[in-house]
Amino acid sequence: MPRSSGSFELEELLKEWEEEDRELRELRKRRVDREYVASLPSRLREAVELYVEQGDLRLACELSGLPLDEFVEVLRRAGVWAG
Amino acid sequence: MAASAEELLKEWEEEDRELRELRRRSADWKYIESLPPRVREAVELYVETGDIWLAAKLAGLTVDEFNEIRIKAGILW
Amino acid sequence: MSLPSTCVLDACFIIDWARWSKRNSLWRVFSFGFVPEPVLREISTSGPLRVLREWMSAGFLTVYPSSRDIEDEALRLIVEARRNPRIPRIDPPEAVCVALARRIGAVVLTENRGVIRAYEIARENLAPAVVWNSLRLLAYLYATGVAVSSSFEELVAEYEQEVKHTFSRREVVRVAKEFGILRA
Repeated sequence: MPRSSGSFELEELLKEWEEEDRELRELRKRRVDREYVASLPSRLREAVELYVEQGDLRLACELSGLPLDEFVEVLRRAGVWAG
Repeated sequence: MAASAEELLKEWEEEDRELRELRRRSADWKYIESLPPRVREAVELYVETGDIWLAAKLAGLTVDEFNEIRIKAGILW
Repeated sequence: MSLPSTCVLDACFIIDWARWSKRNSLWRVFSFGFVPEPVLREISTSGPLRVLREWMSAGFLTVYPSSRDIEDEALRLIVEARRNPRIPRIDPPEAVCVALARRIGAVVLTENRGVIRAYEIARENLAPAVVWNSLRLLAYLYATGVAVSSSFEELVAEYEQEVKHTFSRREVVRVAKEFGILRA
Protein backbone atom coordinates (compact mmCIF):
# COMPACT_ATOMS: atom_id res chain seq x y z
CA MET A 1 0.00 0.00 0.00
CA PRO A 2 1.38 3.51 -0.75
CA ARG A 3 2.42 5.80 2.03
CA SER A 4 -0.21 8.25 3.11
CA SER A 5 -0.19 11.60 1.40
CA GLY A 6 -0.46 12.97 4.96
CA SER A 7 3.32 13.31 4.63
CA PHE A 8 2.67 15.87 1.90
CA GLU A 9 1.79 19.25 3.34
CA LEU A 10 -1.66 20.30 2.20
CA GLU A 11 -0.34 23.44 0.56
CA GLU A 12 2.27 21.45 -1.33
CA LEU A 13 -0.44 19.09 -2.54
CA LEU A 14 -2.58 21.98 -3.77
CA LYS A 15 0.41 23.47 -5.57
CA GLU A 16 1.23 20.12 -7.12
CA TRP A 17 -2.33 19.78 -8.40
CA GLU A 18 -2.14 23.25 -9.89
CA GLU A 19 1.02 22.28 -11.75
CA GLU A 20 -0.52 19.01 -12.96
CA ASP A 21 -3.62 20.85 -14.19
CA ARG A 22 -1.46 23.37 -16.00
CA GLU A 23 0.60 20.61 -17.60
CA LEU A 24 -2.52 18.78 -18.75
CA ARG A 25 -4.17 21.93 -20.11
CA GLU A 26 -1.09 22.73 -22.16
CA LEU A 27 -0.92 19.16 -23.39
CA ARG A 28 -4.58 19.21 -24.50
CA LYS A 29 -4.12 22.55 -26.26
CA ARG A 30 -1.00 21.32 -28.04
CA ARG A 31 -2.49 18.05 -29.19
CA VAL A 32 -6.00 19.05 -30.13
CA ASP A 33 -6.96 18.14 -33.68
CA ARG A 34 -8.45 21.54 -34.60
CA GLU A 35 -9.74 20.37 -37.95
CA TYR A 36 -11.67 17.53 -36.37
CA VAL A 37 -13.07 19.73 -33.60
CA ALA A 38 -14.17 22.37 -36.12
CA SER A 39 -16.10 19.68 -38.00
CA LEU A 40 -18.21 18.76 -34.97
CA PRO A 41 -21.78 20.00 -34.40
CA SER A 42 -21.72 23.20 -32.35
CA ARG A 43 -22.86 21.71 -29.03
CA LEU A 44 -20.27 18.97 -29.17
CA ARG A 45 -17.59 21.38 -30.35
CA GLU A 46 -18.27 23.63 -27.36
CA ALA A 47 -18.13 20.66 -25.03
CA VAL A 48 -14.74 19.59 -26.40
CA GLU A 49 -13.43 23.17 -26.12
CA LEU A 50 -14.63 23.27 -22.53
CA TYR A 51 -12.84 20.03 -21.82
CA VAL A 52 -9.63 21.28 -23.48
CA GLU A 53 -9.73 24.39 -21.32
CA GLN A 54 -10.86 22.95 -17.99
CA GLY A 55 -10.32 19.18 -18.09
CA ASP A 56 -13.64 18.65 -16.32
CA LEU A 57 -14.95 15.50 -17.99
CA ARG A 58 -18.39 15.36 -16.39
CA LEU A 59 -19.21 18.99 -16.99
CA ALA A 60 -18.09 18.82 -20.61
CA CYS A 61 -19.97 15.57 -21.09
CA GLU A 62 -23.18 17.13 -19.71
CA LEU A 63 -22.76 19.98 -22.18
CA SER A 64 -22.23 17.58 -25.06
CA GLY A 65 -25.48 15.72 -24.43
CA LEU A 66 -23.71 12.46 -25.23
CA PRO A 67 -23.41 9.37 -23.05
CA LEU A 68 -20.08 9.36 -21.23
CA ASP A 69 -18.39 6.65 -23.28
CA GLU A 70 -19.36 8.26 -26.58
CA PHE A 71 -18.02 11.60 -25.38
CA VAL A 72 -14.72 10.01 -24.33
CA GLU A 73 -14.48 8.53 -27.86
CA VAL A 74 -14.84 12.04 -29.28
CA LEU A 75 -12.09 13.28 -26.94
CA ARG A 76 -9.83 10.42 -28.02
CA ARG A 77 -10.48 11.19 -31.66
CA ALA A 78 -9.70 14.87 -30.95
CA GLY A 79 -6.43 13.79 -29.31
CA VAL A 80 -7.26 15.43 -25.98
CA TRP A 81 -8.30 12.66 -23.62
CA ALA A 82 -5.88 13.35 -20.78
CA GLY A 83 -5.92 13.55 -17.04
CA MET B 1 -26.76 -40.94 1.95
CA ALA B 2 -26.37 -37.25 1.14
CA ALA B 3 -23.91 -36.44 -1.59
CA SER B 4 -20.67 -34.97 -0.38
CA ALA B 5 -20.09 -31.26 -1.05
CA GLU B 6 -17.55 -32.10 -3.75
CA GLU B 7 -19.95 -34.43 -5.55
CA LEU B 8 -22.71 -31.82 -5.37
CA LEU B 9 -20.47 -29.11 -6.81
CA LYS B 10 -19.44 -31.41 -9.64
CA GLU B 11 -23.05 -32.25 -10.34
CA TRP B 12 -24.02 -28.57 -10.46
CA GLU B 13 -21.12 -27.86 -12.78
CA GLU B 14 -22.37 -30.54 -15.16
CA GLU B 15 -25.94 -29.27 -14.99
CA ASP B 16 -24.76 -25.70 -15.66
CA ARG B 17 -22.74 -26.89 -18.64
CA GLU B 18 -25.74 -28.80 -20.02
CA LEU B 19 -28.05 -25.78 -19.61
CA ARG B 20 -25.51 -23.43 -21.17
CA GLU B 21 -25.30 -25.71 -24.19
CA LEU B 22 -29.10 -25.85 -24.44
CA ARG B 23 -29.35 -22.05 -24.30
CA ARG B 24 -26.63 -21.67 -26.95
CA ARG B 25 -28.23 -24.19 -29.31
CA SER B 26 -31.74 -22.78 -28.92
CA ALA B 27 -30.74 -19.13 -29.44
CA ASP B 28 -31.70 -17.27 -32.62
CA TRP B 29 -28.29 -15.71 -33.23
CA LYS B 30 -29.43 -13.73 -36.22
CA TYR B 31 -32.01 -11.96 -34.08
CA ILE B 32 -29.47 -11.49 -31.28
CA GLU B 33 -26.92 -9.89 -33.64
CA SER B 34 -29.60 -7.39 -34.70
CA LEU B 35 -30.09 -6.09 -31.15
CA PRO B 36 -28.57 -2.82 -29.85
CA PRO B 37 -25.15 -3.36 -28.17
CA ARG B 38 -26.33 -3.16 -24.57
CA VAL B 39 -29.17 -5.64 -25.04
CA ARG B 40 -27.05 -7.92 -27.24
CA GLU B 41 -24.33 -8.15 -24.59
CA ALA B 42 -26.96 -8.81 -21.95
CA VAL B 43 -28.46 -11.64 -24.01
CA GLU B 44 -24.99 -13.16 -24.48
CA LEU B 45 -24.48 -12.88 -20.74
CA TYR B 46 -27.75 -14.70 -20.19
CA VAL B 47 -26.81 -17.46 -22.64
CA GLU B 48 -23.49 -17.88 -20.84
CA THR B 49 -24.68 -17.75 -17.23
CA GLY B 50 -28.47 -18.18 -17.14
CA ASP B 51 -28.52 -15.25 -14.71
CA ILE B 52 -31.62 -13.35 -15.77
CA TRP B 53 -31.35 -10.70 -13.03
CA LEU B 54 -27.81 -9.75 -13.94
CA ALA B 55 -28.56 -9.84 -17.66
CA ALA B 56 -31.59 -7.58 -17.15
CA LYS B 57 -29.45 -5.13 -15.19
CA LEU B 58 -26.82 -5.09 -17.90
CA ALA B 59 -29.57 -4.49 -20.46
CA GLY B 60 -31.01 -1.67 -18.37
CA LEU B 61 -34.37 -3.45 -18.40
CA THR B 62 -36.68 -4.93 -15.83
CA VAL B 63 -36.55 -8.71 -15.52
CA ASP B 64 -39.88 -9.14 -17.32
CA GLU B 65 -38.85 -6.80 -20.14
CA PHE B 66 -35.66 -8.80 -20.55
CA ASN B 67 -37.63 -12.02 -20.42
CA GLU B 68 -39.65 -10.84 -23.44
CA ILE B 69 -36.42 -10.48 -25.36
CA ARG B 70 -35.23 -13.88 -24.16
CA ILE B 71 -38.44 -15.39 -25.56
CA LYS B 72 -38.07 -13.57 -28.90
CA ALA B 73 -34.48 -14.79 -29.08
CA GLY B 74 -35.77 -18.34 -28.60
CA ILE B 75 -33.51 -19.00 -25.63
CA LEU B 76 -34.63 -21.75 -23.30
CA TRP B 77 -35.35 -20.74 -19.73
CA MET C 1 -3.39 -1.67 6.07
CA SER C 2 -3.84 -4.24 3.31
CA LEU C 3 -5.67 -3.54 0.09
CA PRO C 4 -9.39 -4.45 0.09
CA SER C 5 -10.12 -7.41 -2.15
CA THR C 6 -13.26 -5.85 -3.62
CA CYS C 7 -13.45 -3.01 -6.11
CA VAL C 8 -16.19 -0.66 -7.23
CA LEU C 9 -15.88 0.41 -10.86
CA ASP C 10 -16.74 3.87 -12.11
CA ALA C 11 -17.73 4.48 -15.75
CA CYS C 12 -14.69 6.48 -16.80
CA PHE C 13 -12.40 3.76 -15.43
CA ILE C 14 -14.28 1.01 -17.29
CA ILE C 15 -14.32 3.00 -20.54
CA ASP C 16 -10.53 3.21 -20.48
CA TRP C 17 -9.43 -0.03 -18.82
CA ALA C 18 -11.62 -2.09 -21.15
CA ARG C 19 -9.38 -1.02 -24.05
CA TRP C 20 -6.17 -2.31 -22.49
CA SER C 21 -4.92 -5.69 -23.70
CA LYS C 22 -3.97 -6.65 -20.12
CA ARG C 23 -7.28 -5.56 -18.61
CA ASN C 24 -7.87 -8.93 -16.95
CA SER C 25 -4.92 -8.30 -14.63
CA LEU C 26 -7.54 -6.36 -12.63
CA TRP C 27 -8.73 -9.72 -11.30
CA ARG C 28 -5.29 -10.60 -10.06
CA VAL C 29 -5.56 -7.69 -7.67
CA PHE C 30 -9.23 -7.94 -6.72
CA SER C 31 -11.27 -11.06 -6.20
CA PHE C 32 -14.61 -9.40 -6.91
CA GLY C 33 -16.14 -6.15 -8.12
CA PHE C 34 -19.35 -4.15 -8.24
CA VAL C 35 -20.56 -1.76 -10.87
CA PRO C 36 -23.33 0.45 -9.44
CA GLU C 37 -26.46 0.66 -11.56
CA PRO C 38 -26.18 4.45 -12.14
CA VAL C 39 -22.65 3.84 -13.46
CA LEU C 40 -23.83 1.07 -15.78
CA ARG C 41 -26.37 3.46 -17.29
CA GLU C 42 -23.49 5.66 -18.47
CA ILE C 43 -22.04 2.96 -20.70
CA SER C 44 -23.60 2.39 -24.08
CA THR C 45 -20.86 1.43 -26.54
CA SER C 46 -20.15 -2.15 -27.47
CA GLY C 47 -16.45 -2.30 -26.47
CA PRO C 48 -16.85 -1.59 -22.74
CA LEU C 49 -20.16 -3.47 -22.63
CA ARG C 50 -18.54 -6.59 -24.08
CA VAL C 51 -15.79 -6.47 -21.48
CA LEU C 52 -18.35 -6.01 -18.67
CA ARG C 53 -20.27 -8.99 -20.01
CA GLU C 54 -17.09 -11.13 -20.07
CA TRP C 55 -16.26 -10.22 -16.50
CA MET C 56 -19.82 -10.89 -15.36
CA SER C 57 -19.80 -14.24 -17.17
CA ALA C 58 -16.57 -15.15 -15.44
CA GLY C 59 -18.11 -14.29 -12.07
CA PHE C 60 -15.76 -11.41 -11.26
CA LEU C 61 -18.28 -8.62 -11.44
CA THR C 62 -21.88 -7.94 -10.59
CA VAL C 63 -24.23 -4.97 -10.62
CA TYR C 64 -25.08 -3.15 -7.41
CA PRO C 65 -28.71 -2.09 -7.88
CA SER C 66 -29.87 1.48 -7.32
CA SER C 67 -30.70 1.90 -3.67
CA ARG C 68 -32.22 4.79 -1.82
CA ASP C 69 -29.90 4.58 1.17
CA ILE C 70 -26.70 4.47 -0.93
CA GLU C 71 -27.94 7.41 -2.98
CA ASP C 72 -28.79 9.34 0.18
CA GLU C 73 -25.31 8.65 1.50
CA ALA C 74 -23.85 9.74 -1.84
CA LEU C 75 -25.75 13.01 -1.56
CA ARG C 76 -24.42 13.54 1.99
CA LEU C 77 -20.88 12.98 0.68
CA ILE C 78 -21.37 15.56 -2.07
CA VAL C 79 -22.71 18.12 0.39
CA GLU C 80 -19.93 17.41 2.94
CA ALA C 81 -17.32 17.86 0.22
CA ARG C 82 -18.92 21.17 -0.82
CA ARG C 83 -18.55 22.50 2.72
CA ASN C 84 -14.77 22.37 2.41
CA PRO C 85 -13.73 24.62 -0.49
CA ARG C 86 -10.41 22.80 -0.71
CA ILE C 87 -12.09 19.49 -1.46
CA PRO C 88 -12.75 19.24 -5.20
CA ARG C 89 -16.26 18.64 -6.44
CA ILE C 90 -17.46 15.04 -6.22
CA ASP C 91 -20.03 14.21 -8.89
CA PRO C 92 -23.08 12.00 -8.24
CA PRO C 93 -22.00 8.78 -10.01
CA GLU C 94 -18.61 8.89 -8.27
CA ALA C 95 -20.30 9.68 -4.96
CA VAL C 96 -22.42 6.54 -5.36
CA CYS C 97 -19.24 4.51 -5.95
CA VAL C 98 -17.61 5.98 -2.85
CA ALA C 99 -20.74 5.51 -0.71
CA LEU C 100 -20.87 1.84 -1.71
CA ALA C 101 -17.11 1.37 -1.21
CA ARG C 102 -17.33 2.98 2.22
CA ARG C 103 -20.16 0.64 3.17
CA ILE C 104 -18.28 -2.54 2.20
CA GLY C 105 -14.62 -1.51 2.44
CA ALA C 106 -13.61 -1.48 -1.21
CA VAL C 107 -11.39 0.30 -3.69
CA VAL C 108 -13.11 2.73 -6.04
CA LEU C 109 -11.52 2.75 -9.49
CA THR C 110 -12.21 6.02 -11.30
CA GLU C 111 -10.59 8.56 -13.59
CA ASN C 112 -12.56 11.41 -12.05
CA ARG C 113 -9.98 13.83 -10.71
CA GLY C 114 -12.43 15.42 -8.28
CA VAL C 115 -13.01 12.31 -6.23
CA ILE C 116 -9.38 11.17 -6.50
CA ARG C 117 -8.21 14.48 -5.10
CA ALA C 118 -10.93 14.51 -2.46
CA TYR C 119 -9.52 11.19 -1.30
CA GLU C 120 -5.94 12.50 -1.33
CA ILE C 121 -6.89 15.46 0.79
CA ALA C 122 -9.29 13.80 3.25
CA ARG C 123 -8.77 10.04 3.34
CA GLU C 124 -10.24 9.73 6.79
CA ASN C 125 -13.57 11.16 5.54
CA LEU C 126 -13.87 8.47 2.90
CA ALA C 127 -12.35 5.54 4.84
CA PRO C 128 -12.57 2.59 4.64
CA ALA C 129 -13.02 3.31 0.93
CA VAL C 130 -9.81 3.69 -1.07
CA VAL C 131 -9.92 5.71 -4.29
CA TRP C 132 -7.53 4.96 -7.13
CA ASN C 133 -7.25 5.91 -10.75
CA SER C 134 -5.85 3.58 -13.39
CA LEU C 135 -2.38 5.10 -12.89
CA ARG C 136 -2.33 3.99 -9.25
CA LEU C 137 -3.63 0.56 -10.24
CA LEU C 138 -0.85 0.30 -12.83
CA ALA C 139 1.66 1.30 -10.14
CA TYR C 140 0.32 -1.40 -7.84
CA LEU C 141 0.43 -3.99 -10.64
CA TYR C 142 4.03 -3.04 -11.37
CA ALA C 143 5.16 -2.79 -7.74
CA THR C 144 3.71 -6.21 -6.91
CA GLY C 145 5.10 -7.87 -10.05
CA VAL C 146 1.67 -8.69 -11.51
CA ALA C 147 2.42 -6.53 -14.54
CA VAL C 148 5.86 -7.23 -15.91
CA SER C 149 7.53 -4.44 -17.83
CA SER C 150 11.06 -3.12 -18.31
CA SER C 151 10.04 -0.08 -16.28
CA PHE C 152 6.99 1.59 -14.78
CA GLU C 153 7.29 4.33 -17.40
CA GLU C 154 7.17 1.68 -20.15
CA LEU C 155 4.06 0.15 -18.62
CA VAL C 156 2.38 3.55 -18.42
CA ALA C 157 3.40 4.36 -22.00
CA GLU C 158 1.94 1.05 -23.21
CA TYR C 159 -1.31 1.77 -21.38
CA GLU C 160 -1.51 5.34 -22.70
CA GLN C 161 -0.87 4.15 -26.24
CA GLU C 162 -3.53 1.43 -26.20
CA VAL C 163 -6.13 3.41 -24.30
CA LYS C 164 -5.39 6.79 -25.92
CA HIS C 165 -5.43 8.48 -22.53
CA THR C 166 -2.47 10.61 -21.43
CA PHE C 167 -1.44 11.07 -17.81
CA SER C 168 0.32 14.08 -16.34
CA ARG C 169 4.06 13.35 -16.23
CA ARG C 170 4.19 14.98 -12.80
CA GLU C 171 1.48 12.66 -11.56
CA VAL C 172 3.33 9.63 -12.98
CA VAL C 173 6.42 10.61 -10.96
CA ARG C 174 4.35 11.36 -7.83
CA VAL C 175 2.51 8.04 -8.02
CA ALA C 176 5.76 6.15 -8.65
CA LYS C 177 7.11 7.63 -5.41
CA GLU C 178 3.88 6.87 -3.53
CA PHE C 179 4.15 3.21 -4.48
CA GLY C 180 7.85 2.96 -3.71
CA ILE C 181 8.78 2.53 -7.37
CA LEU C 182 10.87 5.69 -7.28
CA ARG C 183 12.71 6.86 -4.20
CA ALA C 184 10.89 9.80 -2.61
